[in-house]
Amino acid sequence: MFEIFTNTNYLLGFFNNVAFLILLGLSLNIIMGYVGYLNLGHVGFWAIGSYTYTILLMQGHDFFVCLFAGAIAAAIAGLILGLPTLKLRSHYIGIASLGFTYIVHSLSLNLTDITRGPLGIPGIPRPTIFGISFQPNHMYFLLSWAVTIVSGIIIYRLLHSPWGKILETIREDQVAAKTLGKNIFLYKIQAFIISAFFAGIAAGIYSSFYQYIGGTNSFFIPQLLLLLTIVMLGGAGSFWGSVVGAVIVWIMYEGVRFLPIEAGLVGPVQQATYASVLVLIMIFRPRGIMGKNVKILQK
Amino acid sequence: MLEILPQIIWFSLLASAIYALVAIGLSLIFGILEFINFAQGDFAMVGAYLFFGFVIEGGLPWWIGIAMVVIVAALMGVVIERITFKPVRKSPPFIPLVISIGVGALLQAIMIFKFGGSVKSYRTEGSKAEVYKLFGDTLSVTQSQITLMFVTAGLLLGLYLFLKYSKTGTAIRAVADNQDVAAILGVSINKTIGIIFAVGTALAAVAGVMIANEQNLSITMGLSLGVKAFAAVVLGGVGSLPGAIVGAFIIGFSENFIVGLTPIPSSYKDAIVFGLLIIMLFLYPNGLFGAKAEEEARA
Amino acid sequence: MLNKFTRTAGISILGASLMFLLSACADGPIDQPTDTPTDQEVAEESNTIKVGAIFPLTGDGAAYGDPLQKVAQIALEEVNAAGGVNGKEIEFIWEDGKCNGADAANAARKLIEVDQVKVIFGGFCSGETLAVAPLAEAAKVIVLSPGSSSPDITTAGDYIFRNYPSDAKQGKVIGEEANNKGYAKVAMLTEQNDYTIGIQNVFSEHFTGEIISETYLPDDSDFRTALVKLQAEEPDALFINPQTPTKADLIFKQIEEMDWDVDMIGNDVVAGYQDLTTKYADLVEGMLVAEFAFDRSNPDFIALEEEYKSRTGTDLPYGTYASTTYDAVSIVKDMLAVSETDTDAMKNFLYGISGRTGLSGSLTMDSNGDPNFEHRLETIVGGEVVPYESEGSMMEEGDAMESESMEEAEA
Repeated sequence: MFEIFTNTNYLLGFFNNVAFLILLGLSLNIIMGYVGYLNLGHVGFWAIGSYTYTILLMQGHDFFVCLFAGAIAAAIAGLILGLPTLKLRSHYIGIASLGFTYIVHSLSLNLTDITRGPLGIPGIPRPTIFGISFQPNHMYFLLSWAVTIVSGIIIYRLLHSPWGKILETIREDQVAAKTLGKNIFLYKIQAFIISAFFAGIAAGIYSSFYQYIGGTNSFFIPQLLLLLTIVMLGGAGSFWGSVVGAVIVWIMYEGVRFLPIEAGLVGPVQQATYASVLVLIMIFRPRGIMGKNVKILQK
Repeated sequence: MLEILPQIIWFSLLASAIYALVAIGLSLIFGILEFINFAQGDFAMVGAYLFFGFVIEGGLPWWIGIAMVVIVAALMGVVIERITFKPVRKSPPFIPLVISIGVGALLQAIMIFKFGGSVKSYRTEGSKAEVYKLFGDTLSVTQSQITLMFVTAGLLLGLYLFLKYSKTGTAIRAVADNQDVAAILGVSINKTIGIIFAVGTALAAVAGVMIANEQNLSITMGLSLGVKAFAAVVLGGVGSLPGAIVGAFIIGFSENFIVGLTPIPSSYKDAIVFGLLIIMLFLYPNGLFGAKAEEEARA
Repeated sequence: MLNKFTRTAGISILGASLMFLLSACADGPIDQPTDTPTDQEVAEESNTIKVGAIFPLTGDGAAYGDPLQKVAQIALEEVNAAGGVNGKEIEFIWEDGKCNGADAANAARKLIEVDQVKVIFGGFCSGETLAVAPLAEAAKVIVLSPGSSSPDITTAGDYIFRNYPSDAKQGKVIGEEANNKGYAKVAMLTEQNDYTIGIQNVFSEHFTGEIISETYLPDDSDFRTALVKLQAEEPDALFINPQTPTKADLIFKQIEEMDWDVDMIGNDVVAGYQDLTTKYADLVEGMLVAEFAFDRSNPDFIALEEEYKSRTGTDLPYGTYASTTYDAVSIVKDMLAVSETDTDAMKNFLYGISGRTGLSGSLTMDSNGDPNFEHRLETIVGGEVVPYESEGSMMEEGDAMESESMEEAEA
């Protein structure tokens, strides 16, 4: 069974998965860790980004155009979700954003002319940029990590800029932030848009990696659980936490494959594994592996 | 169109009754612990499968089966509360909420291990539904549907009497009003919370059995049920039990009327409900009855 | 105090989870053949040829995925008992496609990249095969589906084959017979899947009357509102078009509860599952269906039915799918005998199949990788699926077709 670790294709596949999961975790962490709101609508941004990217790419548009368009579409969705909900109390944001996930899921299944509904979109190509084909796994590995690292650096710089500090001040003490003359709502909505934008970028590299999106089991509760586990395990409010969280969660996910169980039970065992980990981490160490003791986690 | 109106109204009533049963449990828990229990729908799913295990597979008479379901579900509710929610009772609502998502996912995985992933039905071969025709053939109702309505009405009435007149019910209302004052008055907070979980889980489980009797069983049946019940609670205003019931009727009627009387296909049900929810949250952040309930609490 | 309690609680959760994992390993509820080797075992044995296999093993699609996996295993054991290929045994690496594209595509990526198989047996549901096709095509991996019937698969790729006929034929015979019966308005309840949408498209091409269409999502379980809407249109017939027998069961139950008496038409998922047609015998009496014609009295098929029954204790459902699944395994064997690794040689072998006898009849592969089989109209009488006696002018043609297909089966 250990020969799997010398199988280059397997390892490349593993790290390709980790790449977009890191980016999804980092982007969700902006809302959960830095703004301090429970956002259960991130899967919806992921879906919108994926469909936009895929549909444009399959019409033959340039890779970077598609990636950017997917991100912009997700960012607009972030604005649309943020405007009516950001003034609500935190757990109401939870339910409203979960509702958003349901709406996007329902629309993705019903708007069959655009999304092909439950049939999903098969045969998504991997891009060719400046004449170089990124179809082979090792080439795609380079591309997805390049995108993830560049996006990660931008997020890191943003969070450690004065803008990021103000965000943290708002989270810890809204009154203090207000007395400093900061427009709290404006900062929050900016954070929401940026978070959704990078979810859209991650969605692009996800779509071309899997070469298939959609169907009834995609962009829904299991994926939401996966993202929540990444952020909470790594630690809300910690940049490196989301990176570590993504790696650990994917090791758990793949590890189940090597248990001596039937093919049909792999899915439920994976679900049980990260559901248990999520519950345990929330009970024993709600700030996660690397997280700070941020305000959302105290009473 | 008018000739199908009685049938649509009947379907709306059935859906509303089921949402109300799940929503009441949620509302009870929220009223005291102030967190959203996302596993509530999965409690209903577990109830449905327990009945399947006891009666269809185990061959017990149905009335013993239903008693067993109530007992096992109530115990399960208490145990889950003790293990997962009690340790984080002093934490902000964010944390038990995320835990409840994990608990729900874990319950689903466990039920797949136990019963397999395929959809099941209570109906055995050869049994045929009794159908009654009313209003000059414009309305057909079945025996199981009538049972569902009577059981729901009975349970809701019973709960009302229990909360209003029994000693435990008074204790529950006292704890909901003000935990500290109730504790000083000698009410055991732990015991009361345990009872609330037992009652809420048992109600959900009975709802699950009735849905399964009406339709069928599937592992994911609890998902949208729980979230719709929560939408009902939010619409009615959290913490208000009559509000939860009104909310359940709003959701049950709106989804069936919009689908039944307009050309919108039934697969849009979820999108309609959650779109409605987000709009309502935007317009009435405290729900229809919420503001009033809050005033009462303050007074 | 609290700390101690939470620690104990945590350990009990972990313990409970572990217990479930263990019990899952010990006796899974999904009774697959226990002799199915796991991936690791396959990798250790070098004296085997690995073939990927994608069927719907869990979920609603398991209603046919599970029994047909058993049929494939029976056929595989027979092939290996007779010496396998060049002295090597063929091993199937089973993956669960869950009757949807996403899971099938994932499974195919794993089979192609990690297990590095050259042949994928399946998918079974059309959605599975259509999602696998682009990946297999890019990697030059042969796909042979014994059950996918969507017309789209005809053009899915050069390396994509099936020995189950396209629904282009099923939709056509049903559509023409609906015209023949003088239906002016047919209500259609269609699940949103590749297979069912394929049937709907072809049916609407050939049916000249009006079609009132309602669709539902694969996860839906409440069809009452949709059915009431269809009933209000007062159609001449109701076409039930689900992906799985589980959904058909629910739909029938809800029609029965509405007490709606209407002529019915069904697809071959409905027709092939006898549990269903006997359970709702009254309701489906006279239902118009079409399955592809094969000779059920073939002694080899009867032997398969008996073998299946002796292993599982239940009757073999979906005889049509079982016959193609059984044949497909032997096709895989002969194909691997041509070459174990060169998929272009395998491809040429498949395109060259002509007049090959099997349980499903005499198979000739066309230039699209589709078989030559025809669909035949059937109806349900007393819970049994029987050949359909066409009315009026269609009589001769129907009979001719029937005898033709019988000849084919005998050839």
